[in-house]
Amino acid sequence: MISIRNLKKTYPNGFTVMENFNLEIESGSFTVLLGPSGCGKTTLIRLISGLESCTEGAVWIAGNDVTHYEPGERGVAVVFQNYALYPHMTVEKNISFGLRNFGYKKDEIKRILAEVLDLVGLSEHAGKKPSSLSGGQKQRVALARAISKSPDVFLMDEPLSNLDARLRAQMRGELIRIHRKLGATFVYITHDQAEAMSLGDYIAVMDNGRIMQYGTSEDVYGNPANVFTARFIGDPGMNILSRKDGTSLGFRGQKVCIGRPEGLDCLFIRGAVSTREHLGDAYSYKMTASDGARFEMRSPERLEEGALLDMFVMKSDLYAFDEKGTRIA
Amino acid sequence: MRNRSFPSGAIRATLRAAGFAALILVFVFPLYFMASTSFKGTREVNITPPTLVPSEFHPENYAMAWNRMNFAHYLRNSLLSTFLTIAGQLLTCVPCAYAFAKKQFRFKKPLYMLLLFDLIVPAQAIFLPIYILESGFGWINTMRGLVAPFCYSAFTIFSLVQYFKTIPDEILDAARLDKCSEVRMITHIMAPMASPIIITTMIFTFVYKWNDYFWTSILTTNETARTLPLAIQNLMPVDHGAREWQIIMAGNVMALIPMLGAYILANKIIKKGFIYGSGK
Repeated sequence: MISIRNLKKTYPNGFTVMENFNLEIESGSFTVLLGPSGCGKTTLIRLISGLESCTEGAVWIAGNDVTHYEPGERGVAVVFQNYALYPHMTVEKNISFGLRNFGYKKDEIKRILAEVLDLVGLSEHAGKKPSSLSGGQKQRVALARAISKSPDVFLMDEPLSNLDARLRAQMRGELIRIHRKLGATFVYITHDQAEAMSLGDYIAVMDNGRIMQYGTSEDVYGNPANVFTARFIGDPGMNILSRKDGTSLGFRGQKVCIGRPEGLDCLFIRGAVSTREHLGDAYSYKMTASDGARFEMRSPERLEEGALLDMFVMKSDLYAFDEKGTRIA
Repeated sequence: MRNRSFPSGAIRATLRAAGFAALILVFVFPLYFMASTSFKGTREVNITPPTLVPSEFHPENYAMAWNRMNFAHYLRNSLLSTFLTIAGQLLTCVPCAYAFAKKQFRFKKPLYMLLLFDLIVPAQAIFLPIYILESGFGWINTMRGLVAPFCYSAFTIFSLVQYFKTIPDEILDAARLDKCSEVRMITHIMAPMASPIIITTMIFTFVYKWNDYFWTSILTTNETARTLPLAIQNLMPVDHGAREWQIIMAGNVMALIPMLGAYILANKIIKKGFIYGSGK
């Protein structure tokens, strides 16, 4: 288990990224840190790995206070967005360099090399330099390098964002497979909510150096704790209509029904189609309500731009938030 | 229709060729004349107008030069002082550049400014304090006296810092996670990645140190530690009223050969290095 206690990080230039930060990550889980850029998720991973030192607070990994441990002694491996392979070393050397530093014996290194290269499917490329590999292959090497040291914790900082969409989908599947096989704790950073939902057992939604919500992917999607999470999770994010008293009402674009709500307990909206996007199985509409509010709607029906419609959202599909954006119902 | 671009293109090509020819003449002719003179006989050297190709072939000039200037002794000094300087620079400048490029420490900026300032200070402005310092140490006429002041080079550090800065921090982070010590970081990560630039700066150092006349003449008073550029001077004394240019030139050619060799060798390595570097 990773336990982050009362963490504070202030950079030398005086900027405080996070304060009083607490997070418990379950052993063996696949936990995703999700948030917009600058929310502190990369800093958090650097603090867990020891690449950055904490200003205050402590980091515990597997029951040990590792706050003052060197990065190499924490039992963590990091996979970076830009792979961070040693460009002057072959694939094999990239992996064995660390093993040698850790004091593994030659025949052990050989055995581990064969094992991890096989696991990521790069056995034939062992003698190549990173420059002759594709992006996906490079990230596999980085993954193999991380796996080779059999760490308790894998920290991954947007490892797939340099890959094209198809490769990313394929690598996601592979990450899940590897996670199941190794049973280690995976902490995965992304700003892509779809990636977070597809990978994570748990998702920690972050903003401004704080955890906005921490729960299962079903939880953060279906039961958002605040406006930020509601807007950030889902494609599109939740529509939020503010009311005069400062509170707001949220609903998902997929839950908007077209028609008159005869005698139903619901939110009634009259509005016009501003723009239409075709998504393949459905259309995405930007709508403007009669009171000027804007929201998004998903519908399999094809509607013309400018069309005036009556719509409603069932009460069970509505979310209410107070003035501070905290969920009340 | 007349093709107007043709003649102007031809003129441009001719001019360019003429320009190159002039450049070659200016750079190569002195070298050629040095080499051809080194094979001439005593009488032919002093003929006016001078001959371009020796009419008689006198390779024994080289043997004379070798013996008269005690070539072996100076060659040893030259090689020793040059390679010790290179080794010294590798030992001091590479770690220093690594620190400036990738580490945070107090007074980093003012120290770096000082280093940059050193780039523009001419040797003539600092030779006196260095001379006084060395004579205080008793280092005049010693190999360490010739090497020690040059183990540090602002130019080498500056060049390396510029290159080291382009190496992504994540690679260093990855190495730290790989339990890589600072020494191994330099020897196994930074230096190999920067090898083209390290080799290039070391060639500059080689040429500078090999050809250095100024510092060596200041820091030595006898032949104990003197190097080849000063030894050529030994060939200058007039014998029976006429300078023996053929011997002097033979000495020069011999002093030049190791440097030419280094150039040719290094040229290959640098090209290879840059090709690899660009393929990252």
